[in-house]
Amino acid sequence: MMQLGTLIQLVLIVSLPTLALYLALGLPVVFLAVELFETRFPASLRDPIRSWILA
Amino acid sequence: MWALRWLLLLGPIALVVLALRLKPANRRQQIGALFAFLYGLGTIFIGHQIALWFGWWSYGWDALMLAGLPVDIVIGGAILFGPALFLLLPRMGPIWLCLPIVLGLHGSLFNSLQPLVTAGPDWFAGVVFVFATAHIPAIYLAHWTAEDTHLPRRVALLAIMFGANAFVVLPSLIMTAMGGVWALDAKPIWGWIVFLPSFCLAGLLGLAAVQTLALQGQGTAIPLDPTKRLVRTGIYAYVCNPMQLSSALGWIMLGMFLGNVWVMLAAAMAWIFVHGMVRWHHRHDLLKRFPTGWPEYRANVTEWVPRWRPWIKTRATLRLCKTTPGHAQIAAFLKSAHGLDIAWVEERKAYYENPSNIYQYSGLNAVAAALAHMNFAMMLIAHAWLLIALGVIALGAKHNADQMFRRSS
Repeated sequence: MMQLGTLIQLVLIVSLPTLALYLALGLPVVFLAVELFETRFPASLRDPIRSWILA
Repeated sequence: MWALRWLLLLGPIALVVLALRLKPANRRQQIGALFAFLYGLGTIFIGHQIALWFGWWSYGWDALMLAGLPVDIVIGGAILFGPALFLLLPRMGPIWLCLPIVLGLHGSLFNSLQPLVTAGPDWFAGVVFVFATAHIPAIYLAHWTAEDTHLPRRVALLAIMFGANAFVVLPSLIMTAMGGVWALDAKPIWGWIVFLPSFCLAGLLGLAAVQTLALQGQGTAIPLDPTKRLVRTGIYAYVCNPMQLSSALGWIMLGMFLGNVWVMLAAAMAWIFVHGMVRWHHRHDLLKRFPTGWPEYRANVTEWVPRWRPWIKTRATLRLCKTTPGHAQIAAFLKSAHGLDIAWVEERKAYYENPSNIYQYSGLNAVAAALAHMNFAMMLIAHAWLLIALGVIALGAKHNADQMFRRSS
């Protein structure tokens, strides 16, 4: 999940050059979002979403 | 000129792709290539800033610039003199790899890159400087990481890599995005007098952690090249994330010195980074590799606010001699040390032994290691001494310095 989040952020950085710098500086927020998803999301929501994304 | 700029960025990327197609790299080679790129990124940026300041050369373009440097060329250079050359020619030594480029390519082409680059009178000295400080060490870092050798030199280069990117490149990016300038020559003397010692103190936290992880963990501070053991001694007996704490304090002090609140707010990003990536890494790596040791350690040592007294899992022993001058005074001074026993022996040299450690200390280093059992302030003094004493020995070792870090009998 962490690799996927980072990859999505990198794609956004490359494809949105006017926002690239701000997206790059905000990369740690992606890490936090993934960690919160893995640890704070209810399992009933988290597991189906993870299966759907990583399937 | 755009064609040249694209060539200088896309060319190295193409070389990396070609190298990986010709011979896929193993995991350690991939990590070494990444480290070489990151090291090159920070040091090329700094090296070229120094070149601009000395007038060795100048850039004649105003698109995609960061602090007067073309970003694509910095990135392209870090890729070329890092992953590209390392992966293409993994067996060739960095100096032999770079020498023809310095003498041949730069010697023949450097003066013909106008208007992108205009060479100053001492441009060749600048080229040698950048190769010596950025490109050649980057390729050495890739080699040493791939071979898992030269740990002391590797961690030193990784510390430089982090420092350059965290405290030069990142603030430059922040100030480009949010406003602000370095203007170091405009800072008053009293500002330097306040900033430098406090910044060094913040840096001491991080460097002490890096050295401890290398000595006692037999690895680096970067999770991609991790330690082989769980480290809970030295600075890690006081705080769980000393490097992140060091970075956060460094950004706060740098921001105050520059008068830039956005650079100070990078400390908030450090907090976000800890609660995101670091905790993720703890769950997915440390908890799995050390299922009993890690939870016990985290229950007793905090992430951000250091303990005043250390958390000691297993007691250490400092062996002293009654006939050696000064040892009685040392024993008296260490009376309040936590988790430390004093043993009186015949041998005149002091020895520090800790069952939780792989590397054991002797002489003055043993006294320093024992000092770290007293309180947070004494621990900082101890680590300052060990950074100098052990660092000089390790970096200057002629033979494989890894031998120095093997377990002492």
